Amino acid sequence: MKELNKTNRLTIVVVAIVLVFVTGILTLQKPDLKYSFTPAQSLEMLGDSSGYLTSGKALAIIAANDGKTVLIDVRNSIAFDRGHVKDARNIPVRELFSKQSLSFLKEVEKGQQTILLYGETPRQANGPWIMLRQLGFKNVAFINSTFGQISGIENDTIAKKTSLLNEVPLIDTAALKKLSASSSPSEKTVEKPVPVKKTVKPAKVEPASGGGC
Amino acid sequence: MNKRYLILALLSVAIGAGMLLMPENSRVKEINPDQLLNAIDDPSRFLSTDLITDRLVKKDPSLLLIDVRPAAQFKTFAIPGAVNIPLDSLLTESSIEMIGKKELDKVFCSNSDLMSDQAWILSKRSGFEPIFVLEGGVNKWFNDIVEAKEPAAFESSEMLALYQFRKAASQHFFGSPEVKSEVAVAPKKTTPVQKKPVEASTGGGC
Repeated sequence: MKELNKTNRLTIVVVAIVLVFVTGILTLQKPDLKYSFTPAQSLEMLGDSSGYLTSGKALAIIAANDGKTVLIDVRNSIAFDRGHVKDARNIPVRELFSKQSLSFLKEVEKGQQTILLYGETPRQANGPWIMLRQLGFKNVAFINSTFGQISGIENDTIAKKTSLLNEVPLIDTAALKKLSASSSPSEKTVEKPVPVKKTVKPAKVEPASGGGC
Repeated sequence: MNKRYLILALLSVAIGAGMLLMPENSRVKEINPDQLLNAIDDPSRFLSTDLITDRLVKKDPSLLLIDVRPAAQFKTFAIPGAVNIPLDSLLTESSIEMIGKKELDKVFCSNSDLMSDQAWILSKRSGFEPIFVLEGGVNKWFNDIVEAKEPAAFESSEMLALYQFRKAASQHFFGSPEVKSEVAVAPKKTTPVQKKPVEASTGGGC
């Protein structure tokens, strides 16, 4: 009887340990998001210019509306409700990896359509774009201009500063030269004042007319 | 009986082998996509041009400003004190050595803040900390500091103080602003004095 109890305990322990490991392995292999590319590969991908769309190209694509692209608005839902590009779907940055949006994006990818992201500024769409590319989405691009520019909002305060948003060097080299030149003493050129001739017309004294008796 | 012990022994060996393999995976400091996405949505990584300028002027030793533009652009103009690591060589060994310094605040900058943000995202993914992005980039820095505009008279004294700070910082980096060459003052035109002709007194007589 004692012997039997001992063996029973042993089997229970073995079974328990095995169970712990099986559950551990099962939870480990839970389908989780994984990068499809290493950081180095992702870095190379950044040079792929097909991922960036200028506002002109984007507008042409939006106007064509040929069903080959799906527009994704990554701004928050409040901004989206206030106004968005026609036929765009709202997926705020934080919800990009929710089950719902991921399954939608995978379907788009399967349907050979291009995912086109846009945000308030290019910067806002840039992050989601890199994330999707790293997850292995191939047909993803983002619009390299502000929301105001593609939706045609007049008086767009952000768009006025687009020069500060795109990667275009804007350094005023002339101003720079002035700065470097300022260290050397600038020659002073003082012109000699030209003497001005005074022209004083003597007042003519007209002869007094009349008078005299 | 013996068989069971054998199974237990084998199991423990298997666990040991598993343990050996486990740290290999966790040694990669890489943060997962969910965490990275949350980090991207957080704008606190963007530092203003004035803040960076202040730290540059004070020669803050814990600041490392990394310019990710191509070398040619870096040569033409760069923020004084910046180090050039072009974006395409961000993950080379020598660059990683620099970005991996834990005691330094690494601040990425490019012309705007698009490329620098890309550098930030990839560095963040690789687990480098603490890292930041210069908001607006070199363009905004040049616009704000070098070409600081004097605030209008109706603007607050804070704006004036900010302007004076920017101007002083610009002078600190590039020397005193150009002394306006004294333009010879054009000689004043002396208007010829014309004496009014004394009007002849008309009439008179007795």
